[in-house]
This record gives sequence, C-alpha cells and structure tokens, in this order.
Amino acid sequence: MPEFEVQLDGKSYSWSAFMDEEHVRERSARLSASKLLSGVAFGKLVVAGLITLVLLFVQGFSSVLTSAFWVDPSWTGVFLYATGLFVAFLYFHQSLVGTLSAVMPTGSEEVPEVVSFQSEGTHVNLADLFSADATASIERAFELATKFGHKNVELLHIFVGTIDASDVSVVFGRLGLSFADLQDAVGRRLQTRELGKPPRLSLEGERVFLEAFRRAVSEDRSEISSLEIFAGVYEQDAFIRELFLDKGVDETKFHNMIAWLRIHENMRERYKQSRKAAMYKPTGPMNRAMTSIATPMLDAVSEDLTTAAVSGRLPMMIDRESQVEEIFRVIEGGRQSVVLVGPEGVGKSTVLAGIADLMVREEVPKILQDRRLVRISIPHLVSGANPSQAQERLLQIFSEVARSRNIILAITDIDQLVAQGTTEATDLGATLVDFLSRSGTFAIATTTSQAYTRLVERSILGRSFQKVDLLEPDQESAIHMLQSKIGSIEYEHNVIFTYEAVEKAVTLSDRYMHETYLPKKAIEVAREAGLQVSKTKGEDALVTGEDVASIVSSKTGIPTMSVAEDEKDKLLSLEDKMHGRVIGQDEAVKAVASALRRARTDLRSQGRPIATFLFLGPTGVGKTELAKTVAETYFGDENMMIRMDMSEYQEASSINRLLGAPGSNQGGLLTEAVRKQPFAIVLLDELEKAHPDILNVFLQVFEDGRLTDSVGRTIDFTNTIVISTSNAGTQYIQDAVARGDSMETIKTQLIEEELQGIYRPEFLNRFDGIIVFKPLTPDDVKEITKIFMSAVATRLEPKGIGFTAEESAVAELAERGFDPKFGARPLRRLVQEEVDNAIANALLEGNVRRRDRIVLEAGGKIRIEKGVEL
Amino acid sequence: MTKPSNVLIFKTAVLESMKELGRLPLWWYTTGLKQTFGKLLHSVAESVRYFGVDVWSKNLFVPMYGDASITGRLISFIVRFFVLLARSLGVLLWTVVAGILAVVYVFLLPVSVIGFVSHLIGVL
Repeated sequence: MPEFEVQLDGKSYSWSAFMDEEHVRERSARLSASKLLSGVAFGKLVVAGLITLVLLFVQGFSSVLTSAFWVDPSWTGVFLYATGLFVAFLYFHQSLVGTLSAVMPTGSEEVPEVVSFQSEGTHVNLADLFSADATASIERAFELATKFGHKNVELLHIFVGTIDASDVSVVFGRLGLSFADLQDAVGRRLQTRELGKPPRLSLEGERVFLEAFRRAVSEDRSEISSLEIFAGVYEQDAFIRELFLDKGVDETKFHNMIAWLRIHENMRERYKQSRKAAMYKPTGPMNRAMTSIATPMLDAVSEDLTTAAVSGRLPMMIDRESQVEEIFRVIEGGRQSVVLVGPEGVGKSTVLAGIADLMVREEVPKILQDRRLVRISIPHLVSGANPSQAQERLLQIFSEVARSRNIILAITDIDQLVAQGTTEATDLGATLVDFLSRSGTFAIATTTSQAYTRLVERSILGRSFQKVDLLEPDQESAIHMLQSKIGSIEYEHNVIFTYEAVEKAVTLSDRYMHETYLPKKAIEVAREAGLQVSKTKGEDALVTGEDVASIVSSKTGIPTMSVAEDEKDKLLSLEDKMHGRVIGQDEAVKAVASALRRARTDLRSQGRPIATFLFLGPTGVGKTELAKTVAETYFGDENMMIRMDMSEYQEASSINRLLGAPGSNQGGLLTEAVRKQPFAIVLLDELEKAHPDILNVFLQVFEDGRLTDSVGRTIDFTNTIVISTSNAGTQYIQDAVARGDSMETIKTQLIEEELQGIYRPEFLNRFDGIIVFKPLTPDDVKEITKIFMSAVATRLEPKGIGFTAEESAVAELAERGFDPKFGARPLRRLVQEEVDNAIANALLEGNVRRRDRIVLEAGGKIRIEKGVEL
Repeated sequence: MTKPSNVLIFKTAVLESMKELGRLPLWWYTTGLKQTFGKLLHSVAESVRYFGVDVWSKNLFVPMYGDASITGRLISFIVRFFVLLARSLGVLLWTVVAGILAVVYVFLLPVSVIGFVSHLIGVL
C-alpha cells in the first residue's frame, strides 16, 4: 500500500512495486522472455516467408492470380497464411515493447505537490514509468539493503544504487569525483542503519521517487531516468549534500551540473528535430513556392544563414528565447526592422543563427515563413568601390531583394554603414532606410552598444530600426552557454572538461577580464585551456579548474590559481621578507602583510581594491620602498606599479589628464594605465598636493573599485592595491616622536587634528589603513646602511669579486648619511659617492681581479685582499 | 544482480506468448486499429507537406521568378498548374498506398487465421 501519490489529470500516480529478490528476478525474466519472443517470432516469419517463396517459385508465380491458389488447400497456402499470422503477432508484440505499459503525462506546466495516498482515480504504478537504467538503480539499492540486512531502503541506499547509472557516472566524472572519494563516509553511515528483514522502501525513498516523477513531468521527459532519482536524493538528504559539500561541490554547482546533462540532451533532441525539418527547407536561393528570383549580386556579398542552418553549421542558441520573442514581436507588430544592440561577444550572431534555425523549422511568425535569412557583409559590399559605386551596388542588391520577396536581410555591424564618415557614406544608411520603408520588407541588424550610441542612435537608421537590447548574460546563463559549446571543444582537442573548469572559465573571466564580454571570453578561455591541456597532458586528459585558471593568469598577469604549498609559506612569512628591505616600521609592515594575506585567500570584499593604504611620514623613511616591496612580493615584480605624482594634479582641470578629456576618444593617464595593467600597485605620491576634486575621484575608486573614463569605459580597480603617500603632518610626527609619544596617540592626533584641513574625514575613513611611518633612529639607519652594502656586494658578485664593509665603516657611513629632515635618502647618494666611486677606480686601475675581496674601511678607504691564485 | 535462470525465462516466454495470443484479436481491432490508422493518416498529411502541394496551390497565381508581365504570369500559371498536378499525383499515389495498407490491416488477421486453419486441415 503506497503512502504518497501525485494526482494529475484525474490519475493517481504512486509507487507500488515489490523489489524483493523474487520480484526482481521475475521482472528480469519477463524482459528476457520478451526479447526471446521477438526473436523467435521474427525467425519464424522469415522462415515461413522463405518457404512460401520457394514453393511459389516451384509452382509458378502466376498461380497467385487463380482463386484456387487461395482456396484449395496446399502447403504454399499454409506457409503464406502462417507468414500473415507471424506478421500480425510481431506487429502486436513490438508495439507492446515500444510503449511502456504506462504513459508519462505531458503538457503539464504545474505538477501538483506530493500528497498522502487516498486512492482516488485511476491508479498508475510509477515503477512502469522508470527507464531500464533507473529500474536497475532501484534494484541495486534493494540489493544493497538486503546485503547489509537493513530494515529500510533509505535515501543512502538509493544514492549508492544510482552511482553506476550512465548519466550519474557522467556527473561524477565531470565533477572530478569518483565513488572511492565518498566510499568511506558512505560505508560508516551504512553501518549505523537499523537492521531487519526483508528490506522495505522507506517513506523518504518513496517520496524521492514521486519527486523524481514530478521533475520528469515538468521537464517533459518520456520516462523517469536515474538522473532524476539522483537529483531527488541529493535534494532530500542533508547527509548526501554535506558529502558533496565536503568535496567542494555546493548546491549551485550540483544543479548546474545536472543542467549540463539536460542541455546536452535538449541539444540532441533539437538537432534531431532540425535535421527532420531541414528535409523540407530548400537550400538554394529559390523558395519552395518558386516565387523568388536569382540574386547574383546579393549572393556575392552575403551568406545565406538558413542554408547554413539546414546543413547544421550554425551554433545552437541557449537562454536567449526572450530576446528572440521580442524580435518577433517587433517584426509582427508593424515597426518592422530590428537592431540588436549589445557589447562585442554577448552572442548577437548566435541570436541570428537561432532565428535562422527557427526559420528552418518554420517555428516563426507567418511573415518569416518560407523565407531565407541572408547576412550581408558590409566590408565586402564597399571594398574596392568608391562611395557612389558602393551605393550603386547596394541599390542593385535591394532591387534583387525586393523582386525576390523571400529574403530577410541580416546586417551585422550596421554602424559600418554610417561609420564611413563621409557624406556619401551616410547616404548608404539613408538608402537602406528608404528601401525598407518602400519595399515593405525588413531587416535584422546588429551593432555594439558603443557604436549604437555614437553612430546609429541619432542617425536616420536609429529612427527606423527598433532597438532590442542584448545584455551580457549572468554567470549562470553563461555557464549554460559554455556548456553547450564544450562538446565541440572536447571533440576538437580530444580532452574532457570537468564542471569546475567550465565554471572557472566563466567566473574568472568575468572577474578578471573586463575588456571583453561573456560568454565569448569564457568560450575563448575554455578553448585555449583545451588546447593547452591536449598539448601538455596528451589525449583524453582532464581539463581542470587549475588549467583554466592558469590560462586566465597568463592572459591577465593576475595569479588566479589556488594558493600552492610554496606560496603558502611565502604568504605566512611576508613580514620577514618585507623586513629584508624596509627597516623599522613594524606596524606598517604588519598592516600591509595582513591585507595581502586576506586578498590572496579571497577573504576581502570583491567590489573594492585589494587594499587601500595611506602612508604618512617624513621623507626618506621607507614609504616608497615599502610600496615597491609589496609590488615585488605580491605582484611578482617591483615594476608592477603605476606611479602617479599627485603634485602634477594641483589644478581642477587636470582631472582630464587623469581620466581623459571629454570627447577626445582617448582614456586618461591613470585609467589607461590601470586598463592595461589591472593587477598592480597604484602609487599616489604626495597625495596632499592634489586638488580636492581629484580626491573625490579617488573616493569613488576606494568605495566601488572602479572609475569611468572619458570614453565611457568602466575601469576596474578591484585587482589593484592603492597606496597613497603623504608628507602632511610630518613636522608634528617628528616633534611627537621626539617627545616620546606613543604611535597610537600620534595616529589619533594626526587623524583628528593635523590632517583635518588637508583631507575630509570621509576620505580618510575610506582607507583600509592609515599607517604612520616613524622617523628613523640611528640604529635603523645603520641597518639600512648594511642593506646598501649587501646591495654593493650583490652587484660585484657576477665579476667574481667579494665585498665586505667593516663595522666602523658602516657606522661612519650611517652617521654621515643620516639627515633628520630627509631620512635615509642622503645615504644612497653617499654610498654612491664614497663606496661605488672608490670601487670603480680600483676596477679601472686593474688592482682587483677575480676571487679578490674588497674591504671597506672607516674613512672611505678600501683595502683589497688578494684571492688565491689558480 | 539477481539473474533469472534459463528455465524461468523459457517458462515466462511461453506464458507471455499465450497471454499475448489471447489478447491479440481484441487489441487488433481496438488500440491497434486506432494506432495504425492514425499513423497512416499522419503519413498522408506528411506527404502533402513533402510534395509541397499546400505551398504550390497557394501560389498558383503568383508569377514565378518575379516576372510579373502578362506573358510571364501566363507561362507561370501553366507551369504551376502542371507542377501542381504532378505533385498532387504523388500525394494521391501515397494515399492509395496508405488505403491499401489500411484494408490489408483490417483483413490480415481473420483471413490469415481462416486461411491457415483451412489449408492446414485440407493438406493434412
């Protein structure tokens, strides 16, 4: 007696099958017997037919025409009528095999919820609606419960039962998992189940079967497959969800993976339908009604999209149904021509391909039926012709189109008709509009958003073409679009993509590649990753998320791979590494190191720069040096830095240099630099000297992580670290340090009092950290001198010459090189003048050879210790 | 997986064939008849589409190749008329075949049974 049911169209669908050993064996025997029967009946049919023919041959075929042949008893008659009987039996038997004993309900958009069983209406047993694969899965679940002596067949048993099903093994493969990964946890869980005999289906299990049925009906399936049961089990059982989560598969991933299989199935189905419909669609310029005429001029500069669709050469359109509907609405609604507007790479051509495919299947408004969609290439049209010749060609084409009456024009990049710039060229647009309005025909055009605003919107084309926006798809749609392309990429490069690779291609390209749009950029990344993997790992290799990440990294220069072991150590010892270059300034180093760790482990907020710092302090204490150190440790090279000297931006008008002058069509110095190098440090030197209006611009960068330049491009700052240095309040810092105030007090006083006249409070609040650099102490300077000395030694190393500085020499240099006003800055000059010059002289005089050691002594003298002769 | 023995399969096959033989006559003139006639009707409708008779009859008076002159229209009409005739013949031919198949279906079972039994008795 079932516990649950789904009431649909007056029928009660519920599970009432016995899955014990005996019943399973019986069902299996029935299946084999049915096959046996088909074989035997067919065999008999062939034998009886052949014998009839042989007998007829012996007695002469003309005897068939006599009534005696049909009436008078003969062996020929026996075999002939027996053949008829076998035909009838086989026809009946095959139609029984072909249709399941129950039929899936169709056309139900809303499937009612699962309710308690009431036994009203005709009863349909769900077991008859499961596919053979699904039935085998359920049988395996019962077998498992029997083997363990469990009382109930629970979701876990069903889950294990489905794993061997072909669809489900694809899910596992694409997710990069194998059952072995889950085996231990599943085994432990199985040990804890209640014992008892014989196993019965649990209530949850029954519910899952009904949910699988509901899902199958809502997706218009002809039977319930293992995949539906598998997805149902996942949804109902928290333990199984946790199991997957443990392996890095969250619910979105899981559902997208299921959707992937469905997309493939739908694509296959759609392909079959299109192939069938293509039989009726003519491929030449002639329509079925033969009302059209030959169009030689048009054919020379165009491509027939419907013909391409008939031969199956166009890409499949995914998730763009609403836009196509809108296009059809506009076309049917009277204002006929349409321009599809969207950024490069969002799939405008694919929408055209989708329309061509629908035209092949004739699933289009009447006005589009029995017509062909022809794409004109404007570069082809205008090549080698002056404007008036181009116009003449265009008119000739229009006359062909008008007379042919079965052509819908598709014009990609319609802005090119206007973009020629000259007055004659503008006429091409006018010619088109004039033709469209007179001939009663229409066109479907495409253009990019920028070109539409710049060239089309205010031209005559903008007035007669209705705009349909094609926005960049969201990540989930983009994943589905990419999934529909993966098959061909896999075939091309002989590799297999995991789900993670597909997802990363979309998410990483969306996050780090801002110049191009989804889904094109994700498809390109996936294609390159496929090629790369097939080259490096060989055929049938698995393309993983890391492979995709490495392609994105090589394209953008941003490390997107997950943190590797050696990098972990590097990140954990950031402070030590920084202290190797920056002396003192413990607080500054610590704050910066923590921010970098947060960024690399993805704990930072995504919509802002990686970190924003304000370094305050006197000159020469290591502010710029720390910025360079960050560039080297985090971005891999100290030159990964965009340095802006803010003293050059003291006028309000200098904002145009920063963001680009309005109407100039060129970006600004800052925006262009970040656009080209999105993963870098932006160092704003001497920020206090910039005009207050310019500070407002940075307020937006700190808050939203982006800026819009004069061309209208959005520049992404979310992969930059913005470091501003400022000497404001220097005098106060020096005095306070001399007084012995704590750094905390100094910082509070600076923010609350000293900086008030220079920066607005909301501006200061936007920084992740305001870091005060202490003036250097004599000990610090000594340490810095040592660093300079080791730099000298490093420079001499390639020459095979050693270098050391005596303690007294270091102390002397530190004392002479330190200036309380300029920090350690004079020290560099001093080292150059005193040490480098002396070494240069010694080298020129030929006193130093390989293996010698130069020793710097107090008073700027150098001593040469001779090395051993070879 | 629990596998059935060959004996069980054979036994089931015999039982099933008995059951199917018993159900055959009723099925033949109810569900089977409906299904088969449905398929045949559908195939006739498909043949109209396949031969393009609908499109050609709609465009009988439309000039071919865009030639709208009187002569063009006249030639076009004549050509279209004969093409339509030929295409209709195709549909007609298929309809006849489908009709024959339908008749064969209706009589196949009783004629085969009666013929088989009477011939068998006769020769034995």
